[in-house]
Parts: sequence; structure tokens; C-alpha cells
Amino acid sequence: MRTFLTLLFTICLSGVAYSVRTPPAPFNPSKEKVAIMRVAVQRINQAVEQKLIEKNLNYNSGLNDFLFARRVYVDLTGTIPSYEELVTFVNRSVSNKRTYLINQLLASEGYVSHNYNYFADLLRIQTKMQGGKINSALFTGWLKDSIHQDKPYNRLVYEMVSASGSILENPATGYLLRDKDMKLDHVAFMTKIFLAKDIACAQCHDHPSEEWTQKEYYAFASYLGELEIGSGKNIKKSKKQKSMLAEKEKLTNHPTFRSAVRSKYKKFSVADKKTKELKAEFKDITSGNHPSAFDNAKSNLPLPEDYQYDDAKPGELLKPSFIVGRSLGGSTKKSKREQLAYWLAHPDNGWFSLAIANRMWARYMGRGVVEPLHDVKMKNCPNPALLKTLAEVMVALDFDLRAFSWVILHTNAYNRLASRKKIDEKEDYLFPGPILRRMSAEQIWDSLVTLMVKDPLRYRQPSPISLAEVNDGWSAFHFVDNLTDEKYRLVDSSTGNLVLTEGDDYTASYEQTLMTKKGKKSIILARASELPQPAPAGHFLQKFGQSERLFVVGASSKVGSVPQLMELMNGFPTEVLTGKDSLLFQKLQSIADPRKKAEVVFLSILNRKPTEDEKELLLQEMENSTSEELSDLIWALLNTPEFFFIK
Amino acid sequence: MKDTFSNLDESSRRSFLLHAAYSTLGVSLAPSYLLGAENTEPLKKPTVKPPCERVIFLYMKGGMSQADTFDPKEKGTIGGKSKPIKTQSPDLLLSDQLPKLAQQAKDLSVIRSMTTKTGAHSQARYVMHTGYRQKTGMTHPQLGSWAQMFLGKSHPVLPSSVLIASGNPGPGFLPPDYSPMPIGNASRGIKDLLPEINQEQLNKRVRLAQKFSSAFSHYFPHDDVKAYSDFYNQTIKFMSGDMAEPFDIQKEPGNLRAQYGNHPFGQGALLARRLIERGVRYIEVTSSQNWDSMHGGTNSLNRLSNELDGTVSALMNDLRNRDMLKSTMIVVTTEFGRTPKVKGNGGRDHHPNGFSAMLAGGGIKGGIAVGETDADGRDPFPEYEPKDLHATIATALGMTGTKIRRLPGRPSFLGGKPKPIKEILS
Repeated sequence: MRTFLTLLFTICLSGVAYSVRTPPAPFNPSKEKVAIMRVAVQRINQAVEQKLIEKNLNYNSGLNDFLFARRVYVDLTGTIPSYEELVTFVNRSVSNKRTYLINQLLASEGYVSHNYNYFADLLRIQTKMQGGKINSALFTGWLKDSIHQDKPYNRLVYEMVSASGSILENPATGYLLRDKDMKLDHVAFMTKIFLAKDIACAQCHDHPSEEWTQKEYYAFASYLGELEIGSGKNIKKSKKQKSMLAEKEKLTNHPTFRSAVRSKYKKFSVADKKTKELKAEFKDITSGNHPSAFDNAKSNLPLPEDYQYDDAKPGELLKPSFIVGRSLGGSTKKSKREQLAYWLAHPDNGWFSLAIANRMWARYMGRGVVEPLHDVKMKNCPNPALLKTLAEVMVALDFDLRAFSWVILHTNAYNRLASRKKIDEKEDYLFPGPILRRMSAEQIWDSLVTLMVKDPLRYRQPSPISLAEVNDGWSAFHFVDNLTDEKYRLVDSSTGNLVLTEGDDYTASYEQTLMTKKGKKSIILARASELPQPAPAGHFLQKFGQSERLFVVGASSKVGSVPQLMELMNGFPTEVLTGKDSLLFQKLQSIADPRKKAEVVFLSILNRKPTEDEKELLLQEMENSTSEELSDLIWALLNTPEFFFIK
Repeated sequence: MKDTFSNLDESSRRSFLLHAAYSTLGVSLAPSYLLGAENTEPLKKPTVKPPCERVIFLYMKGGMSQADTFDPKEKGTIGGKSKPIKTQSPDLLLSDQLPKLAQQAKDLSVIRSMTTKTGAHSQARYVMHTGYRQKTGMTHPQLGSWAQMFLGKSHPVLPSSVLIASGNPGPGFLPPDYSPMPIGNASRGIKDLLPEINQEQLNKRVRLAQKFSSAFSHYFPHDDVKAYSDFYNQTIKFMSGDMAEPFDIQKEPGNLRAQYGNHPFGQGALLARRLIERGVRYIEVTSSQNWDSMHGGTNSLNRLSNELDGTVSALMNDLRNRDMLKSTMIVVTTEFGRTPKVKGNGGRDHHPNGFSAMLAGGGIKGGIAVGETDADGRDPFPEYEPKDLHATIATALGMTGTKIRRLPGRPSFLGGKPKPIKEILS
């Protein structure tokens, strides 16, 4: 009997796996789009150059192949290039090799991971939302998939703002669930992110120096007046839906459901109890008792009881109206939230296209055409023509962020060395080149991981399976287990197998490339996008300024600190990287010439060749390129400011 | 670079500090999103030297019983075995559990009408440390981080605030540089943060890194690059022997270590004094005894109060001997109090409604009690919340006059809208 059961478990275990990696959508714009992209580059160049000429300024000097490669790799894939990638690119002798590289990187897995980090920061994504009651993995999985499939940005925003239903059925609702019980704050976040307008002060009072009154704030917020976030128990279901849910529920009676529980909980007594609990849980979930976003015509958002101005009464209900711009048509029969989403993401909503165009420019140039990004005032813009052009390009490219990135990366301004001196925040900047940027916490971490192990993106945080994918007892267990036991997990995306679960004994035979451990110290060698969001306190990412994802949009920091550098100097990641098992170290083993070894270290970390002075220093200090000398060299190059700046 | 800091005299050290903080590093400046409405006003520097320059915050974990410590009642009126005794000050009675502190009562005062809204340990602890109620998705900074924001870094190399055996709460919503440095075990100091490789190899690595940095730093005479170079210098300085020295209590004489008490709380308080003396501004030390054991009866009371009485009085004596007591505030408090009535088994329950805090030293008028609980030891008057205690400490430190914009953008003051307790300030 025992043998039989064991066999059954094994079959079940191997029978179900998470989804296996697929390459992102290829970057293959239509001819018409390519034509627009080329014109866009010219128009942006003109807009920048006109201002530079006006102020009698020149562009910064150009980029050699090494600098160019490092910059586009960091900007598009979120990591510095590997030694092989760099050398391959530099040695290519095709005339348009830079365009080839950009096209290639726009369709890379790194691009998806890196862009996910950007949105996770903007949308303040936390792995454990609402004290762990809402499984954000469904939402983050959806977001990564959206980037993977190259969903236009305005479509993405429309889907989030208008999302309805349980997060199980419609993961985009995660955007709304994130800000449960803080609807008014949510409105302020929304306008900052999507409209580049900071209206937060008007939430509580008319602001003397700002454009908006408290009444206008509430009138805009009224578009979310009917939004409710809670259990979806009272959402009406169609007959078809009901019968579908009943069918799914029956699957928990299947013997494989019970066996699956046993395979996890081993002890029979525990497993029997758990089977009952999970069955009940499944029933609860399918009856709609799961975090949901929905509209309730009876809900509303009246003015506060202490409303103090004469233009309306306390507690009064306001007619919804837009905070900027005008109505852009659309059905008035739809829910208020759908009307809002329609207006927000409409190509004719000038503030919407301007906000994202300016944000994307800032991502690649280190600074927006106008700052701050979340509160744009045209009177502060030193080059309105450039801003207008960027917004028009965004619309012309149908909010295709990859095509838009392609355009920026082809401009003259981008293809220049960073400005050598710091530009004060108050000072106008006219883009003779990008500003000198420190890499983000995620870029630094991902670069280190890429130096430590081969193909770190092999390990992914899985999307929990959706209700639609539940089709037998095992998957029913898998589904409910994921929802009730929200442990952080990693899957090997090349096989689909679960390879790591939070709380497991890491000494088990995980692959060296995933998890490294020494004494009490351990690190998961996965990319930032696949780690808990945000990384736990004390993690390398946190010390380097990853956003806390709390109350500020784009709260990530690029400021140094002593604990940060102590982490880089003495921390476990550095110990692993300078150790003999790291990918970089292993590459060096196969090289015989000591000078060549030193050069590979330089090209791998700083992505450039040593200067003449440095070569001399290497000759003195690295005479034999012993293991210890190489460790010292790797350590030293990581601990130069040059490593984490984008020149 | 190595000896620059130790060779500077006090005034040039201070000016270096200001220079470092305001121009070179730019890190002591609050991030612009946190400043007042206009974002342009610089933080106001106190024009007069504040009465208190440093704070040692001693936290009694688990809920200290006020009736057995700082708010004793005549025997018979409430339960328990403690009774009031006369102290050095005619205006202040303490419990007979605190004989050593009674002898120094001229230098300490008591707030007897503290109150907090929650009787759950973790939430009440959060309120006592931040002034705010806990809210999902939000972490508030603790007082040491706020002080760094208002007043700048307290030392060019040492951290501005240190937490000893008090967890690692981080900087709240402030940037990472405002994070207090956590120390788990006072006797081990910062040994766990230091490199595992030998000093010689570290020196070689640092020398190499500095040489490889020069080309880049030269080509980019950029403030951000310079800031990083400066951070590197600070970090190297921090890791070198003489900066680990402030954290090494093995260097204190054995008899002094014994006076503080041979337990983590006593040794933590000693480390606190050592660090305060060397330039750290704000230090918290958590008691090693857990006052929650009072549920089970008052048998543990001697153990609890001996630790408190012995360590705090030793700390006050030590600071007085070094002429630092008048500029260093000592705060003793807890998350909530204990019921005045005793249960059937002689134990005391949680009592968030009324409890005590003790303040001594810098900025504090000694020898008095402020506020009271009623005759039954229950309702406090006037009510002071943890945020008011914070505002009192902040006022003594000279952290006044600056508006903090609570995120996501609503203007707010430190800890909500607190009232500093003026009567207790000197």
C-alpha cells in the first residue's frame, strides 16, 4: 500500500509543473512604425539642438563601443554586459551594429525583468500586501506577462484602472487592491504617476499656491466613488460562472487532491485535517470570498464632514469631473471607473502622454525634460518644444514603450558622454548628453548576480496558477495551497520545477547557482525582479536604495551611506563574487596568461580596458595573477565608484 | 585622511561636520520631498545651544509596572507589596523597589500620566518608538532618525543613532542613511560587521581600489562621485581599529562594568555611555528582563526592579562623574503600564490607560513629578501620549520650528500634533 502511494505522489509531483520560459515578443516593428521612429529621432534631435545652439552650447563628446555597450545593457537589460557579450559587440564590424544591439536587447528577458522593476517602483508593489491577505504574485505575474507580450502602456493602465472582479479572475485588480482602505491617497498616487500632477495637498484643504481646490479633488476622486475593495461574495455571478465554479469545486473530492495534500504534509493525521481545511478554503474562494475590486452603485465619496469652504456643503456628493483637461467622449453608460480609465489612457489626453514620455526620457537621460516627474508645470520647462515632441512621439507610436526606447536610444543626446559636473536640481539642463547616473539598486544587484552565476533569470518567481487552470485534483490543491500558504517560491523556468520555498532548509540539495550558504549567511542568486518585493531589511538591495514601496512614488534612492559600502566591502555577495566558485572566477581559470586574466576582470566589471597607468599598476601588483591577487583585483574594481556609475 | 578627524579640535570638528553634512555629502539634508511646503527653506538651526545634546532611551520591555516603580501609592489603596519611600527630593516619592534612584532623585523627574491607546504589546511598542499608530504599508522613523534629519549627523564617522538589543527597525520612510545602527550584543559590539579578512589584505585591497578610482574621479569632478569617495573614506575609517574602538566595552575598567550590572542591559547602558561620549547622539537600550513576567505575580519584581535601579543609577553616576549628565538626557519608559489592582495569583495585567516615564539629566528639571493617576492608580491626568513624550525630547534637543511633511504629502508634525511637556523641561 505504501509503495503504491509513494508511486502516486511521484507521478503527481512530476505531472504538474509551473510554466516554462518562453522568449519575449520579438522586437519587429512594422515598416510604417520604423518610418515614424526614424522621423521621431530627427525631430527630437532638432528640438534638443535648437536649444543648445540658442544657448551656445555643444554636445558632450561621443561614446566609444565599450561605453555604448555598457550603457545600453544597463539601460535595457538592467545589468552590465558579460565579458563575452562586450567583446562580441566591440569586435563586430557591421556599420549599424549599435542598432542591432538595441533591437536585440529590446527583445531580451533582461528587458522584461528590468522594466518590471521600474513599474514595481512606480506602483509600489509589495509581495505581501495588506498584511499578507492579498497574493500580489498574481498581479506581478500579470505585469511581467504584459511587458513580455509588449502590451501598449495605455492599454496596461486602462486595464488596471478599470479592473473589476476577484484577483483570481482578473489579476490587474492588484493595482487597486494595493491601496485598499486609502482611496483618497490612491487618487493622489494615480495623478502623480499617470498625469504628472501632484494634487495631494488638496486632499485636505485648498492650497494657496496650487491650482486645485479640495472640491476639485473630491470631484475627481468621485470617479472612484463606487469602487469597493473587499470580499467578492456579493458580486453577482452568471449561471455559467456558477456552474463552472461548482465544477471546479468538485475536483477537491478527487482522490488526487487528497494525495497531493499528503505529499506535502507527510503525516497522515496532519494531512487528513489539512485536506478538510483546504477543501473548505477552496469552497470559500470559489463562492467569491477572495479580495476583489468591484463597483457598488450605493457607494459614494462625499465631501468630508469638516469641509470648510463656501462653494459646497460638508458631506455633499459631487458630480465627477476631471482634474486636468476635458472630457474626451466615450460612453456615459459605463461605470464611472471605466469612464475614468477611458479618459485617462486616451491618446488625446495630453497630460497622460506627456507624463510617460517625460518619465521615459528621464529613465535614459537621468533627468526629465522638466522636473519633478510627478508634478510637471509647463512654466518650469526649459525646453517645451522637446517635451511636446516627446509626447507626440509617444502617441504616434501607440504607447509602444519599446519603440519609444528605441527612439531615445538613437538620439544624438543619448549617444554622448554623461555631463562631467553635477547639475543642480534648480538649474536648467538642456541635454548636451545624459547626466551622470548612479545605477539603481536593482541594476547594481543584477550586475553582481550576473557576475556570480550563469543565466540567473533561469530562476523565477512563479505566477500562482489561476482558477482557469484548475482541471484536476492536483491542480486544485496546487491552486488553493498557493493562496493559503503564501510562501515565497522560486521555479527553475527551464524545467518548470519548484526549486525553492521560503522557510525550507536551504541546506537541501539546491543547485549551487541558485542558493549560496555559509554558516548563518545565505543569499538567493536570483535577479531583483524575482526576489521578495521589496527585498527584506538588511538585504543588499535595501542598502543600495531600493524603494520601500510605501507612501512615495519612485522612492528609490541613489545616495551612498556607510552601511551600504560596508555591505559592498565586507558583505556576503562580495565574498561570493571574489570566491573561487563565482562565474567570473571560473572564467579566469581557463586563461593561462596572467595579463589576460587581469584584462578579463577589467572588461567584466568596469567594461573597459585598463589605462596605461593601470596596466603598469597591474604589472606591479598582479605579477602572477594568483587566486588571491585576482580576488583582490575583483574586490578593488567593485569598490570603485566607477563600477556603479553610468558614464 | 586617517588622522584628520582625531586631530581636529572641537570647533573645527564641528565646522567640518557642517561642511561635510551640507555641502560635500549632501546626506544630512532631508530629501526634498520631506521638507516644508516650499521645499526651499533650509532646516532651521537652533540659534541657542540646546540644553540637551544627547539622549539615552532605556526601554523596559513587556510593560513596566508603574505602581512598583515611579508611581507608588500608599499601602492599602492599591494592591501589591511596594510602598512609597522618601527620596533626595522633597517633591518626589518613589517605590521602595528603587532605593538607588531615590538617592539621585534631585536629578530625575517622573511623568505619571502617560497613556496609550492600545494594550497589545507590539502595537504599543510601535507607538512608543515612533509616536504614530501602526498602519499597514507604512513604517515611521524613530526619534534618532528624526533628530538626524533636523540636526544633521552628530559625528562625521560614527552613526548618529544606535539601537542596542532593540531590533533593526530601519529608517522608516526616511532614506537609508537615517537608519539607526543596530547592535545585537553589547559585549560583541560591531565585530560582526567587520571584514573577515586580515587587515593587511584589506589595506592592499583598499589601496588598489583607490588607485583604480583615480581616473574616473579625475574625469568626472562630480559631486555625486565625490560623495561616494567620501563615503568610502568614512567606511574605511570606520572599519579601521580606532573606529571600532568606541564599540568595544572590553576597554572599560572591570569595576565600572560590574557597577552597570553583569547583564545585557547593564553592558548595553555602558556601551551607550561610551558611544555618547564619542559623538553618537541617540541611543536606545532595551532591558534584558521582561516585565511581562508580572502576569505571573510579583515574585519576579525584585529581579526586574534591581536591574532597572542598578543600571540606571550607575549610568547617572557615571555621566555625572564625567560632567555629561547635564547635557545628556536619560529616558526610562515602556509600552504600557500594569494594573494597580493585583489578580488572584498576585499578578498584574496590561494597563495602557496610565503609566509612567522617567526623565533625567540634560534639559530636565529634576526632583518633580508631572501629572498623576487617580487615587486608585487608574485614570491619568493630564493625559500625555507617547508623541508628547517625543515632542518633549525633541524640544530639549532643539528640534523645533520645522514642518515635516508626512507622506504622501500632507503636512504634519513629528508624531502627529504633539504637545511638549513644558513643566518637566528646565
